[in-house]
Amino acid sequence: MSRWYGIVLISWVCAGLVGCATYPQNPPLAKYEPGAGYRFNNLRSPNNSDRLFVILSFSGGGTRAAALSYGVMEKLRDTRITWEGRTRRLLDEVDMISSVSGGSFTAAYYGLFGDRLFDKFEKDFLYKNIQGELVGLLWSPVNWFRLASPSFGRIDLASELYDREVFDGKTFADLLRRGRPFVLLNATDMSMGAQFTFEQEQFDPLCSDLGGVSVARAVAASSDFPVAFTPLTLNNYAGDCNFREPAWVDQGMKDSQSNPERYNRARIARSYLDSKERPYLHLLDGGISDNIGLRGPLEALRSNDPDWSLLNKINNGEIKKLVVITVDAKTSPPVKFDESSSPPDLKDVLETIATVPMQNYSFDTVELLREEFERWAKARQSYAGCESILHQKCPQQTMPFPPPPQLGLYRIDVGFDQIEDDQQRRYFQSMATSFHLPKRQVDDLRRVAGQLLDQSADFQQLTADLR
Amino acid sequence: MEYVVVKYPTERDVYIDWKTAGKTNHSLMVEKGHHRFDLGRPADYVPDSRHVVVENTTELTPLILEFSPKGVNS
Repeated sequence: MSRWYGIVLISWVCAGLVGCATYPQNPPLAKYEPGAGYRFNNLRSPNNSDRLFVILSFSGGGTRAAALSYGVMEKLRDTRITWEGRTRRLLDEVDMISSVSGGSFTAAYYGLFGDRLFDKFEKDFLYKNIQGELVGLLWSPVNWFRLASPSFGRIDLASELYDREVFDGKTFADLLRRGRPFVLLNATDMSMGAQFTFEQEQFDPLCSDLGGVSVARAVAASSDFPVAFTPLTLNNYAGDCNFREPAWVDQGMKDSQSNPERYNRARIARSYLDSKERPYLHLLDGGISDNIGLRGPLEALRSNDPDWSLLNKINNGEIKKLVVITVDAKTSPPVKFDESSSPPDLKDVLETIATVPMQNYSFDTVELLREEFERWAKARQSYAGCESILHQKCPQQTMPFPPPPQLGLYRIDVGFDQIEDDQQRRYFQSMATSFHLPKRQVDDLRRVAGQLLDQSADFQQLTADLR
Repeated sequence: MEYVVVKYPTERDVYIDWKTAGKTNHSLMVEKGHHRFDLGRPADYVPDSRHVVVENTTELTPLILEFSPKGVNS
């Protein structure tokens, strides 16, 4: 009889575990308020001037990416600048960090805890065997039952781990209270194939309050490597909060011929408004749509549409010097298959499919930024050239219209491609993509980040200009 | 990148698609495509707004959009 009771009790507990296991739902938004929530304009910045605007982008690449970006943060902490009569750390002027996957751990940790990054991040994440802990969760019988639930996946287990071990249960409401920098944690919307950023502007059309979402969940979505993890689910409550679509969406929908890129953004923005068609969203690793974390800032530099359009800030004369530091932990391990006439095996083929398109897209994104900066510089040169000729030929005349906005531009790339020494470059380019690296490799990544900044011509120019 | 100069006798805020995006009589960088241009308050200017497709401009040949104080040309 007691055996029967035992079986019934265990079955009841197991059923309860399966039934109760569900992903933590993003809360609904009672009323749409375009001035509230986690937005750039709501982040206080008492000691950080917009006139010197510093953007960091952190790529994916597991602990390798987290350590490289951490090394950049250490270097910015140690770099003293003088700006508008005040001497301070360059780190204190960082306004925005946009990140994906492994880079999101460093970005979110700094956003939440500030300088605690330099005291505890090593212990909380960099030197920790997160990969081992993730695998360990799968060996727990309790989790077998939880994972049997259709509304609880491996990514939810990972999110719980990050929440508990790394991010102390903090939410986006906590991140908002910390102020600058604006941390943009990027994932990928599976059905649209588009970047999905954890900011209130993105959550508005879903009628969801980002303030109640844990930062760990955003980092989990951002590093939701396909197949290893299940996609992360968000609820879409669109239609329940009196959301008013931004005016640019209607304008952008007319741009299918004149500006297909803007038309596509408008089409994606509108897709979230139909909660009957899309009651749920499924997110994957941000690296699928942008493995360098630069697309959001690039869009803000090329468009007047985002809430935090940097183009509008430049037009308004709010930004005088713009610094973009791109941290790319891309590897290119040596391949052996070209040494043989036999076709590469399935593992090699799958690796190529999984990495090459992302790397090519990242390369294009960096090139787009470079071209944009060059276009701006050429526009100013061309105007100044015409003005000079006009003054020579017709000294009494002035230009019929004003010059384009004046702006100091600094574009700094931190990546293994910039390492000059062949052996050293190959060493870093062969590192594994994992949430656990040997301590020596983590230390080497931290050190090389500072070296790469030091050797960058634009970083040298920036520090010289801010002396 | 496109260039637009919104002309008005005095310096006023310029709104592009309801967002503050610069000042009158300055060269503004604008994304290519359909846009609505307004000035900041008070609404004492004409026309009320300009709906245009911004394209094929350069820093030396910007699109010029003119607004006037109400009562001057109306």
